[in-house]
Amino acid sequence: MTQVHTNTVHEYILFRLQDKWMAILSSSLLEVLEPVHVSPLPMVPDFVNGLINVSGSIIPQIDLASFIAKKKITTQESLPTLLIVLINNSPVALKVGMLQEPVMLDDEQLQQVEKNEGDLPQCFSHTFSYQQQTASVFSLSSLEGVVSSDEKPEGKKSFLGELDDVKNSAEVTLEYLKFRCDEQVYACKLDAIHEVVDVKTINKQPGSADSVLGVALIRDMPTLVMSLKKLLQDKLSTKSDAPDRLDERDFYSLLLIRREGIYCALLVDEVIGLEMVKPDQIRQGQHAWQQVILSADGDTLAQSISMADFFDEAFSQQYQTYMPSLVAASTRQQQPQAELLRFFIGDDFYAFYLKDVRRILNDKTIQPLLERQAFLSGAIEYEGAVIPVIDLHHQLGYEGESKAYEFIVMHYEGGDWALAIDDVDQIITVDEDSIDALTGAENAHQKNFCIQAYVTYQQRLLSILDVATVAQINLQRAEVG
Amino acid sequence: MMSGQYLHVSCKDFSLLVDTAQVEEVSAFNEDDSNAVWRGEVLPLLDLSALLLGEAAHKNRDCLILKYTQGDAVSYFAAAVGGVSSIENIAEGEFSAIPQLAFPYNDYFDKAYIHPQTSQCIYRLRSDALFHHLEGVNHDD
Repeated sequence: MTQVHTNTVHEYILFRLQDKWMAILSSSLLEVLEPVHVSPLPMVPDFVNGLINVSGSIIPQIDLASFIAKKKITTQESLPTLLIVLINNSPVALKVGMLQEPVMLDDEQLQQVEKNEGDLPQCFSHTFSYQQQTASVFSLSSLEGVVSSDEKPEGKKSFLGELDDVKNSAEVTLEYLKFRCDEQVYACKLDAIHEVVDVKTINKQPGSADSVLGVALIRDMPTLVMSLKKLLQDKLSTKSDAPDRLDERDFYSLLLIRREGIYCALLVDEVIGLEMVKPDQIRQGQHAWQQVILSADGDTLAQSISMADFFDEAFSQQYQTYMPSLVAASTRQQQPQAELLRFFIGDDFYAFYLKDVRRILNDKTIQPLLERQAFLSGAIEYEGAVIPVIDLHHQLGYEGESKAYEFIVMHYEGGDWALAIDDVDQIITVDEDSIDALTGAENAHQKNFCIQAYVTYQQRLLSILDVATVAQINLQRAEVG
Repeated sequence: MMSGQYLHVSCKDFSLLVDTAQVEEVSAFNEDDSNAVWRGEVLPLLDLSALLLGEAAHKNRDCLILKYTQGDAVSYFAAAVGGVSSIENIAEGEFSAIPQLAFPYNDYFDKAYIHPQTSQCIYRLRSDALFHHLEGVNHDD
């Protein structure tokens, strides 16, 4: 008889705080907001930033970094975010850093934090491993002493509606990634997939096992590419005589798997997308690694693969010979890294240091200026204030109409500036040593040259811009004008 | 809708509303005395900036002469503030509830008005809060 594992799986909201990974249970989360105007509050500790107005309701904003450190933390988070949670039945905004994709974790992946363990304050309940670092689960109950009343606030109706209704409407759903392989639809838990990538080239690895298709360069790391079709045939003992061969494609869709002792990519025909699945839709299949996801009508939506059972120790031993050791990668991770926000202007890649970025905005209407000055194209609203917009497309000398779909908010000389760009691409991490600063970078602003350094990332040149120079050109010209 | 009249006063970063029914007079004070003289009577002086921020507004401050009625007894005291901005007519329904936090600010403010242009929260001073604070200080003495 097949034994069914009954591990409880919970979804966690992952975020950055003081250069660390932290998480809260997603069932506690009511809303995510961009920072809004904060009214300071007298007679409160430093970790209470003040009160904010959310759709007519006034709620306290807690600076989570200061609360955890038990002292005022003045370091600004890049891309700050507000998480609205319920504490003692009252909504509270937690100011945190950049938000990440949610992660699904089962009990086995969580390590309970013992009281007074190590340096962690008692506001953490668990830790787990994420991207080879330790992430801490913040316990919202540690804030219960801050919000003293469990009564609903009087006055205007809460923007959240009836709070009880919100609590009851929380449903446990699991995120699955659906993909096609060998004309079948499969799915696996999203958190089991390290990354989904498309590559154009897979280099053959002659003499390796039938399931190995080759090696691809992913994030500058040589990665073993395996045929999921062949692996499934092996698992189901429906061996085909012919090895799976690489067919000619414009690009290959790969699911990156990163588990203990295993780092490889699985070739699939097509990535279909995400599916939210309730636990009662899942039926155990014939094998421990196999499940079936049913629709509400009882039809089969997808065959589900449990990656934890699929990539077991036997798999690791069988294919270890063909896997790159990742020694170079782990050595690289020990080196100082710099985080960059990469974006496009035209077909070119540019970047700012992430520490200089306050926020990325879109869906903003630019209010034109009465008289155009320097490269200022107008102004937008940001956190209740009006800030100037720099047309980076024109400032960097590009011709033609700027698309200006997105805005990067930066801080310079006591004020915020919005830089209109075509598209934000992604946050990337590079070795600090690999960044080539310009020889005359210190004097660059005198020559109005905005580029302060270059770096190569995935064989593409990236120009790192200097915030001070970008802003200063506009200050100077506005003064002259 | 019933509308109240409030003095909009500021103490550094904080904006407060004081019910004009409590305010007897507004005057400018420059001295650092711990008492204020009003109509020949020496009144206890409370510096709101010192109370809220722990930092007194020493110069060019405005001073409110406040009245507190308890039964037939009427008491007066002076409250120094950073400055008086304006008089506002605000209906009761325009005030929002403020969250109950485990800190003393709830003893001093009961509601807040969200300024429509700046989105700033302006806190409404409880009518009896300052008087009780002074009473507490006198008892401690």
